Amino acid sequence: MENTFDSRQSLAVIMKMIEQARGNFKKGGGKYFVLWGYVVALASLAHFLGVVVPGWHVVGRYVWLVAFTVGVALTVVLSFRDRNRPQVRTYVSYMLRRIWITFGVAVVLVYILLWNIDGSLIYPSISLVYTMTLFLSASAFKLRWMYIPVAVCVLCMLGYKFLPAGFQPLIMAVMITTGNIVPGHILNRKGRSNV
Amino acid sequence: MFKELDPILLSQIRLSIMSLLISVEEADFVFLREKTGATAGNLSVNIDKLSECGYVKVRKYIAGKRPRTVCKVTPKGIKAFEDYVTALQSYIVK
Repeated sequence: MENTFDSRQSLAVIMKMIEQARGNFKKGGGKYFVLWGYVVALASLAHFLGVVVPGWHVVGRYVWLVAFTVGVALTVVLSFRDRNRPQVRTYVSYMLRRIWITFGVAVVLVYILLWNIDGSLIYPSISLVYTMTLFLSASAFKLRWMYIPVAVCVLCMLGYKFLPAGFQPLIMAVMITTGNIVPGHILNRKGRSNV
Repeated sequence: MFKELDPILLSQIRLSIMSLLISVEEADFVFLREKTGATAGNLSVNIDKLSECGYVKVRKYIAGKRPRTVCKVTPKGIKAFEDYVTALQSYIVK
């Protein structure tokens, strides 16, 4: 026998379900944030070491190619493992996918456009695009605390102005740690109690 | 005059399903089952009823070796849900 009920109970059910869906962070939902955070942070640190450590300059030449390859491979593996988990596609996740795909395309374009013109502008340009993307993500998530990493990234951008060019990879590492790794771990923890 | 409530949505389980699907782009069977707390059989029957009325679009496919069922609310379902909420509000105000 079906369970029918009165109007107030109906509205209570509606509100409860909408709240459940809206506040739902999948378990491990921040893992791609974390993954790319560590990949980029480690690559940035390796590039920085390639700059400051004598004889390590070859690291700087290949580190980003290796990092990108490893990142993509791990993303594919994690996506494959995710295919059997409960799936829900929200409007927020839809927008976030598109925001970060746009970021990826912008990074490639910045690199191609600036490589032969002024290589010292690559890190600041990518960091600028990253900060804007992070801001859009924070807006999509509607989580106030996510604006703190955005503020940190804005401050880090000033580092590009006042620190020597050799420190650029280090600045990137700080930005990525604050913008991806920390929020990613927080989102993962938040999602533990959800589907 | 009170507006008539859609009998399809007068069921708690079907209203729960519609409320969840209104909030997301699409959701699979497991997600709906976990959030509504319904049994698999009960959920399946009610999803079928919503699908027959045109409120929900159901897509079934095989992912790896597992069958998957993904549900998405239709424009007709959104309209029915909005009308239902409007009707509910008229009951509560009066």
